[in-house]
Formats: sequence, C-alpha cells, structure tokens
Amino acid sequence: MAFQDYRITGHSSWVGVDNFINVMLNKDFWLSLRQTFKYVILCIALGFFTPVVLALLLSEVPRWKTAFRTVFFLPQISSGLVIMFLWKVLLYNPTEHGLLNKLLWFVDPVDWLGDQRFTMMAVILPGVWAGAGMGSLIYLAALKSIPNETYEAVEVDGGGIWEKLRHVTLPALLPLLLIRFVGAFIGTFHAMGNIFAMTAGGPGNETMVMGLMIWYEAFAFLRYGTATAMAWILGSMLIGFTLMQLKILSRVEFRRAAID
Amino acid sequence: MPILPTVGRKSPRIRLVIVGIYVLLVLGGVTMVVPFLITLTGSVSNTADFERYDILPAYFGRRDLRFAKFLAEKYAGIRFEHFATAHGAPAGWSSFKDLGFEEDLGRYWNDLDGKGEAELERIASDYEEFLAKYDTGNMFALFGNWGLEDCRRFLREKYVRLAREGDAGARLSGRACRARALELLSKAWNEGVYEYWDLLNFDQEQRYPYHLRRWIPPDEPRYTDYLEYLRWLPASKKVPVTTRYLWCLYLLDKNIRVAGIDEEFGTDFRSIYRIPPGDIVRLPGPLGELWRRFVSESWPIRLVELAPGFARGFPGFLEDRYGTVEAMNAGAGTSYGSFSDVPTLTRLPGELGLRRLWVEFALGAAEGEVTRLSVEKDYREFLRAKYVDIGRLNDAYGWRLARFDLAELPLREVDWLDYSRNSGYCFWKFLSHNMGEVLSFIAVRGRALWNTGLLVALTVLFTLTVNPMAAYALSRFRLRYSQQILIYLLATMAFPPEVGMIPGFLLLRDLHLLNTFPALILPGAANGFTVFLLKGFFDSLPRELYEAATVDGAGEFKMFTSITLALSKPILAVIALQAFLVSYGSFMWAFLVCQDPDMWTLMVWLYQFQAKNGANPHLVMAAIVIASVPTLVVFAGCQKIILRGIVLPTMK
Repeated sequence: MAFQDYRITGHSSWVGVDNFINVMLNKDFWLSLRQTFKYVILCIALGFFTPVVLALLLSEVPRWKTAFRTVFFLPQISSGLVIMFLWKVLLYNPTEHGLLNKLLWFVDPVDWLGDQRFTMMAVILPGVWAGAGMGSLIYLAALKSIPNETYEAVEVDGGGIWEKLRHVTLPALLPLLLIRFVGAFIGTFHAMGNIFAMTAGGPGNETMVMGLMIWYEAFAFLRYGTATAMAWILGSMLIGFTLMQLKILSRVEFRRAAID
Repeated sequence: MPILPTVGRKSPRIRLVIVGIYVLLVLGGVTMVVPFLITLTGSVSNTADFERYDILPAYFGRRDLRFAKFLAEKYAGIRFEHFATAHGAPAGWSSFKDLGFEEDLGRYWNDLDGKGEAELERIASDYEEFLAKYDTGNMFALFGNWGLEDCRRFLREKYVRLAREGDAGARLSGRACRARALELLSKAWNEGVYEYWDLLNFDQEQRYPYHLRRWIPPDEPRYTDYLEYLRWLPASKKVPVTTRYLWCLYLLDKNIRVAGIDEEFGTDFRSIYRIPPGDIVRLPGPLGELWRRFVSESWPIRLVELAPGFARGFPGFLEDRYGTVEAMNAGAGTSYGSFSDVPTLTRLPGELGLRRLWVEFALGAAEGEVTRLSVEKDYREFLRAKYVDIGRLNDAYGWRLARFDLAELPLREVDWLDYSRNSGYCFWKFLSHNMGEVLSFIAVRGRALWNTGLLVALTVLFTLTVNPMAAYALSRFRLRYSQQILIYLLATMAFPPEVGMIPGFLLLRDLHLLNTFPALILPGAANGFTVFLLKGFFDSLPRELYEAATVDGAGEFKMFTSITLALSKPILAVIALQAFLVSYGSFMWAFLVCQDPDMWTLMVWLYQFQAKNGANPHLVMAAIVIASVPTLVVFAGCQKIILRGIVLPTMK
C-alpha cells in the first residue's frame, strides 16, 4: 500500500517509492518528527519514573499503605478520554478562573493548551498523573518480592538507604524496568488519541506528533499511500527497539506476584 | 519498609525521611482527590457557580448563591441583558458567572427581603393578570434549560392530539401515535427533528430577534407553535421584551461609558443596565440625543402605532408601488379587489403579504406620526385602570412612586417570589438537572447503552476465548515451530498501530463489516502479548496434572477448562479487566469504524456531548461522572483480583 497511490474507491495505481520521497521532502513531516522526539523524551522523563518513585514511597510508608494506594488509584476509574476532558476543562481553562491559573494567581493567566511554550507539557501531564497509580502497582509487587533478608544483609554490612537502593532494589527491579522502558518508549512513539482529544495537533503544529499526523493523513485527507509510507518510516526507526524488546521478552518468564 | 533501616528509626535523619515520604504521598493524594471532588461538585453546578471550582458545593450553605443560580437558570437561553435590565445589575456583571463570584449577593436584593409577603403576592398576582392579556408575540420563554421538559411535553401533547385527530389516528397504538406525531412535527417545522430535543427554547432569540428594527413575525407553523407554547406557560415562566432592554442593547452597541457620563453630568447611573429610557425621564447631554436616535433609527417597527391620518395613506403607498391591484396580488400574495379595499392599518397587520409592505410604509412615518408601543406603557395603563389613584397603588404595593408613569415591570419582585415559593424544588433541580440531561441525551440518542454493554461483554468473551486457546495450543503441544510462531505473534507489537489501522479499516470495509459489532470487537480480540504471557504461564503448570487427567479419561477440552483455565483464574481476570477497560474507553477506533450514530458507543457519544456542550462545562462534568460509574463499580469489585493477578518478569 505504501507503494501505491491508494484510492478508497476505484483504481489504485502503483507509484513506486514516490510516496516515500514525498514524505521525505515534506517539511511538516520532519517538524512532526522533531515534535515526536520532544514528546517521547518528556513523556519518558516524567511518565516512566513517576510510578517507580511512587511505588518506592508506597512501600516505605509505615502506615495507611492501602489508603494511599486507593487514593492514587482514583484517576483510574475514569477512562482516558474522560481524564483528558477533565484537564482540558478544569485545569487548562485559559481564563483567570482555570484551576492552574488560580494556583498561579501571581502571574497573568496562561492559555495552557494554546501557548506553544506549554502545550507539549500540558498534553503529557494528564497521562502521567492518571497512570502513576496503576503503573506503580507492578513495581509495588516487584518490591514486595525482594526478600527482607537481602536488605538486612546490607544493613549488617553497614550499608545505608542509598546502598540498599543501589545494590538490592535496583538490580531486583532491573528486568522489569528494562521491559517497561522499552515498551513505554515504543508506546509513546505511537501515542495520538490523547493529543487528539486535547489539542488536535495545535496550536500551529506544536503537538502534531507522528501518530497524529499519520491519522490525519489517512483519515482526514484520505491519502492512504503517504500515510502508510509514514507509518513504515516510523516503524523502521523503531525496529532496533522492537528487536531489543523481543530479545528481552524471549529471555524472561512471567511469574505471578501478589500484593497483600 | 525494608529499605529504611529497622534499627535506629528514631534517629532524626530517618524520621525526616519518613515525614518526607508522608508529605509527598499526601501532596500526591491531594492532587488525586481534589480534581475528583471538583468534578463531582461541578456536576451539580450551573453557569453561575461552575467556574468557582469549589471542592464542595458552596451553594449548600449560601442562600444568596442559590438565588443567583436560580436566576441563571431562569434567564438561561436568552440574552443576559434581559436579566440585567430587569434587576438593575451593577456595571461589572456581563454574565451569570460574575454573580457566582460575588461574596455577598444578598445586598442587591435586600429591599425585597424586607418587603411584606402580602405586598409581593399582590404585585405578582396583578402582574400575572396583566401578562395573561399581553401580546405573546413580544415575549420570550424563560428557563432555557429546565423548561425543556415543559417544552417537550407541550409539543408532544399537541402533536399527539393532532395525530389522533388525523385520519386513522384513533386506531393507532400509543407508540405508533407518538411516532406519527413526530412525523407531523418534522413536516410542520420543515426540518428533521428526530427526538424532542433541539427545540425552540434553545434558539428562540436567535431565531426570533425581536430587537431588530425590521424584523417581523414569520408566518410558519414553528412560530405559531411557539406563540401557543408561550400562551400555555404561566406568567413566571416568560418575560416580555421591555423598552429598557431594547434601549440597553442600543447603548451597549454604541459603547457608552457610564462612568464618564456620571462624572460629567452628576448623574448616578453607575451601570449601563440602569440608564432609564428617555420616555419617562429627561436624559442628560449625549444620552438624550442617543435616545432620540434610538427611537427614530432603531426602535422595532412592529412595536409602532401609526397616527390614523398617516395610516390612511397606506393604500396610496401600495398603488404608487404596484400600479395595479393585480400586480400587488401577484407580488404580495394578497387578494384584494381594488386598492380601496385595503384596510387602514395603524398597527402591524396579521396578513403576511401586507406585513412587509406595511413595515416599509411605516418606516417612512415621521416622529410625530407614530406612537411607540411598549410593555411598560401597557403595564402602566393596566395599573392606572386598576388602582386609579397613585396613592392607592403605593399603599397596595409598598412602592413610593410619584406618578404611574414611573412604574416599572415588577420582574425583580416576581423573580424573588418565584424563588421563595419554589426553593425546595430548585435545590432538587440544582442537584439533579445536569445528570438528568446527560441521561436523557444518552437514552434518547442512538442505542449507546445497549451498544456499549454488548461491545464490552463480547470483547471480554472473545478475549477470554481466543487468547487462552491459542496459548494452550502452543504450550500443551510442543510443536516444532512453536517458538517461531510465538515470535511471529509478538512481532505484531513491533508495527505501529497506525500501520495496522489503515489496512484494518480497509479490510473491514472490504468485508462489509463497517458499522457492525465485529468491526469493534474482532481487531482487538487476539493480542500477541497476551498469548505470549499466557503461554509462559501455562508452561509453568505441572505436566503431571495433564498426565493424571489423561489417565482418568479426560478429553482435551475438559483438560483445557478444568485444569488450565481453572488454575490461571487470577491472570485471566486481569486480562478480562483490561479488555473491559480498553473496550469501554476506546473512542477513536470506535468512531472510525462505526460512523453511523446508531452504532456509537458511550465514549463516542460523550465526545459528541462535550463538543456540543462546550459552553456548558457543568454538563460535561455530569457526563464525566456518569461515564465513570461503570469503571468505578468494576474497580471497586475487582481490586482484589487486580492485586492478585500481577505478573512479574524474571530472568530465566
């Protein structure tokens, strides 16, 4: 399909690598690639480590563990689309009455989704916020499966909190971290639904990531050929990561773990 | 708490760390709970208090805020200036949102709070008597949101009656009769009205702009229905178009700076909504000039009475225009024998053909030849006829007027009394209206609930059949290429979903499955990663079980169900839960493959609802709350299952 001038109805002609050349020569494509990288890096930096930290905190807190866990689980009861609306309507309201603008009453009201300086961040935060509770569960289970004796051994050897984290917790979590990281990396490259609901790619093309661009190309402009070509380019860029993911997955096995 | 040392917990450093953990968790917890509470509060708010973003509804404890919310509902669907001029709003108010932010609203209605109940009752009942006789063609229906119920009921009753009276109507069943009534309504209104929803309350002022100079009532069934509806409504549910209102719109259009005028002429208007019309007071400086320009350039012609002397010129005007009476009959759709048969019309005629011509004729009248009709004037006449003497009126109403000509429509009093009488009902409506609106939107439109329920059930069912079976086959029978097959399945994850999305969409189209349930369910039913996960898990079950079962004579399917599935319940439960969440929340794919509204799921409708109600975020909040209920129920019931079904990767 990537090699065709694909038409929904009627004859689709073979155009060779024209689609790829068109895509390569398209300025918007390269711009969107840049935005995608920006999006992925921000997403990983914020979204990947938040659940890990949360799990550590949750496992260390001496009391009210279950209560905290339940609270952090609250966003999960609303589906992704609902969370996007919530943030869009409540927090990102561009007038002075928006929640975020109220919190920052000392500066002028900011149009969070309409200002190019903030949009990318604004699009990412809801997902990070909503995913933290659910994401931390698996780490919580992993932390739980580390036997207490190992920590005690470090303690006997005179190690403090830092040594424990470095020599026990980190190695124990490493396979999980690795798998989740690669998965999250590939996943965020394809993200689009949430961005569509928040900004639909705007303002300008600030949040026009590849996933969204492909969607527009195919289903709004009905240029399936170029859309598929773009998807292939994106896919082949990720091929290294995908192979890595497959390799790790074929080396591990999954065991059930439980949290009290 | 294994990382924190078990001994020496009392040391200040460790204590600090623990306190730090608490602080972080509590802060994080607050960010989780607060939006949740604000959403709940928002779902029981309205235009007046939504943007306060209270964590708990402030109006529970504030009567003045409840009154403001009531006013916001009462004057919903028409321009804010109706309310602002009637209540003499302060300068800073430009929408009901501004009322919500006031700390003490009570001070604007203090005078009414101290007024005797009997006086208020008398004012209101007299006003009701007056309005019952007043021209329905010069008023709007109130309660743009709550009144929809009334509006729908009125139309349903009217058209069901029509359907019954029509041929063969008597034999129709209730359901068929309602369907026929809808058909009649759509035909009469000349548009596709599928349900009692987008009806006249919403756009009455857009559709019937009474304030425009040349606007004349259209001759269409929709407008006739609207007038009939207005006649049917009680006085407290409609508002006449006042001179004050028309004058205020004119002033707003001219961008008058009230503060400047007050300063220059020593007046005390303070707000543009309080500048009185020039027919009862002498307006200072530029305002007087503006008033003269307003009445000669902008006053609606339909509210004009011509002097009889001038009106006699109408037939002549027509003759000048058309020449022959036949030409006029053809051009205006009238049927007169000669020009002298045309009556002398001092007011806007009922006959549509003549109306337009009469408006053009009346536009030519000079200032001395017209009398302006206004609801205030009629009201003053009404009071004069009823009380004769101004002293008697003042006694009865508790007013202090010097003469009848200063009387204003008692809209403030009526609104105040209206609220005091119905405060309990209003409170109930504050709580329930948004939810009811969302529910009726979902219940009436398409088959959202049925679609979503079926979709979720089928998706869970398919996920729980396809994936375990595939995994079982791979795990139980050591095929030569099982490893390769597994890699092949996993490789599906490598491709970006968009690559699959387009051919998937086209494939569904070629299979003629668009707008069907299979289109929603099949693409996501089998998942490479799930099969991989399950296969690994099935591998870890002891082989001896199968051998024992074989010895006992169990078939393959029996072993599959009572050994494999029975032993992996927790994981299957988690997979089912995920399938539920994904299918319930899926929106883009659902929208793409099912563009027929009949097949839209709840999420797609929700998206539509929020797109349609961008101006009513409190309705969106209610929709969010309602959409969260199924997930909340499932999560509350399955928390244990989730916690027991977590799988961790370990290196082989």
